[in-house]
Amino acid sequence: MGKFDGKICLIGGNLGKFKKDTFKIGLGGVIAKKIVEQGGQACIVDTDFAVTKACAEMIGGSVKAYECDFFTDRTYENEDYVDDRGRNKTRVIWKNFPALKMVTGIVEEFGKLDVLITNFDKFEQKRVDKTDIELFDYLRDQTVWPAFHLLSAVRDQLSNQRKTQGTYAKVVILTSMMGKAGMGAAAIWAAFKGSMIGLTKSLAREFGRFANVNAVAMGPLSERKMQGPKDRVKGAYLTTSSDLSNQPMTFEKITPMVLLLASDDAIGINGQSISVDGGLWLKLEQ
Amino acid sequence: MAQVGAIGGEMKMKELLKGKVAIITGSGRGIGKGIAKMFVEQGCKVTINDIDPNPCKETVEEIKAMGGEAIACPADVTNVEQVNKMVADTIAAFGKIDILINNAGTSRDAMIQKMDDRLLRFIIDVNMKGTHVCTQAVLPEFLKAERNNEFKKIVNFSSTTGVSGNVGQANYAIAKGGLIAYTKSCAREFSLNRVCVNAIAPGFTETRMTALKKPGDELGIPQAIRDIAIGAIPFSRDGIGGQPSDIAKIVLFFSCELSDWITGQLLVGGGGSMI
Repeated sequence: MGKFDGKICLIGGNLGKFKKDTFKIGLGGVIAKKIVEQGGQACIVDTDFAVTKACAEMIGGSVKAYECDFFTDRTYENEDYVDDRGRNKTRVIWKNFPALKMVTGIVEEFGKLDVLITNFDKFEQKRVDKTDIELFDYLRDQTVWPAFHLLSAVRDQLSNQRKTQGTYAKVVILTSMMGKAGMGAAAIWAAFKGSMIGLTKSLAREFGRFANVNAVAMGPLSERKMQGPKDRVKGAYLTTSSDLSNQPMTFEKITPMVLLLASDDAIGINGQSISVDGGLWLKLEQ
Repeated sequence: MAQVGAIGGEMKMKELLKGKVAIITGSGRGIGKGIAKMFVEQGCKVTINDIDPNPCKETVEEIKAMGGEAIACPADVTNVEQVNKMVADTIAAFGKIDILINNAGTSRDAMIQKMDDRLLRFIIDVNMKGTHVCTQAVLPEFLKAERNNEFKKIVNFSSTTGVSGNVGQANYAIAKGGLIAYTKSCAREFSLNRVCVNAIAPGFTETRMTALKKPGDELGIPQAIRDIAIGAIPFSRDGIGGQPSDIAKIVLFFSCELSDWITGQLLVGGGGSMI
């Protein structure tokens, strides 16, 4: 018996990348792999189908790979209709919404969707005075748009499942603990990581009747994110390694918390952003 | 040096900002206008900014009638050229800048299933990009080597929605939550230059954004929502939320020398609505 037996899970972002024709699995890919090992059906999505396909092949089994455009502007129109009790109602008809089309396809194939995990990120380190509008827009789009489109796309489906099947869905948003603590020389990147925490709390309220929405605020995954420019005092710029390991975080350290929040064991947890950082947050809070 | 003393049994503070120059974005109306008037009372010269020229001019006239010094700089805070001009005009008029109050912001609420990308982008840009553009524009002045260790001040505006989220405000929570992290990042980045960067998270405050929405109004909120929000404020009386002057007092603290040793902090001003 696995924790995710019969669960349909959609995992988006950071599935992996190619290095000289070799595919190196990313955090999203590792999470999908663990879900499959525990009996779940993983559907993985990113903006590049070559990446999702390679990740699905690496995990093996029945993993489904999807490519999705999260960057074309979505618009909607209101449509009037009469419901089954004869009342006049208005519903939203979306246009240009590939994520919704993908989610509809998943539900048609598997009958439901139980878990959504978003893990989209592009790291750029630059001081405030050097961060121009183009970089601001890039980081905004890469961090916020995919997560927001997926969350918007699953909302009605998860709500309907609560009404028709009585199930609570699980949503896990991966962000960085720099979104809580801030990070010198990466202010805009850290700001949008903080945005994900604000989004988590708002959606925990909006989704509260049919889904748990939580965030994992992970510690730095690389030495590069743990250091500021070399010409400045290190303490002022942030960052420092964790007390626990004195090493960057790894996928294996982060994945268990993501799986906990994605499982039915997390039924009593909502609107939280849980730091998985080996104690770095303690150090920064001093 | 500010004077702090007991006068007639009350603690009065005078001239906390004597000789200082402040840019206050979004100060043609609402909280920003309240801050501008309080700053002028404390001896500060102010640049009044709003995207609409008329409220700028009206506020400047009111301040001049009070005997204060102010200039009007209408500008879209997300437009780099307009913001750079605002900074240049301030230096031309007053010779320097000591304080930046990133107050300009707005909200447009919708549940996530009815929130399109235009609305999402608009709120992120006005609140977050505007703050970033204005911060960037004052940096050459704030990081000048010849300012002899004098403290400079930046106050950013988050919100209780950025701290704890709110139904129908996913876009606003993204922007205001992001500004908390942005504030801390800037505080770290500029700490060696003695630039204090702090944030305030106002709760429900009486402005045109929170006024009773009437048919045809773009801004405002329904009475039922107002009642819920105001009902959650223990300090409120007679069905009225916080006043711009309540928030201005906190901003004044973060802008004067009383807070010289504070940076990277968030202060919630919600009348007890968030404890």
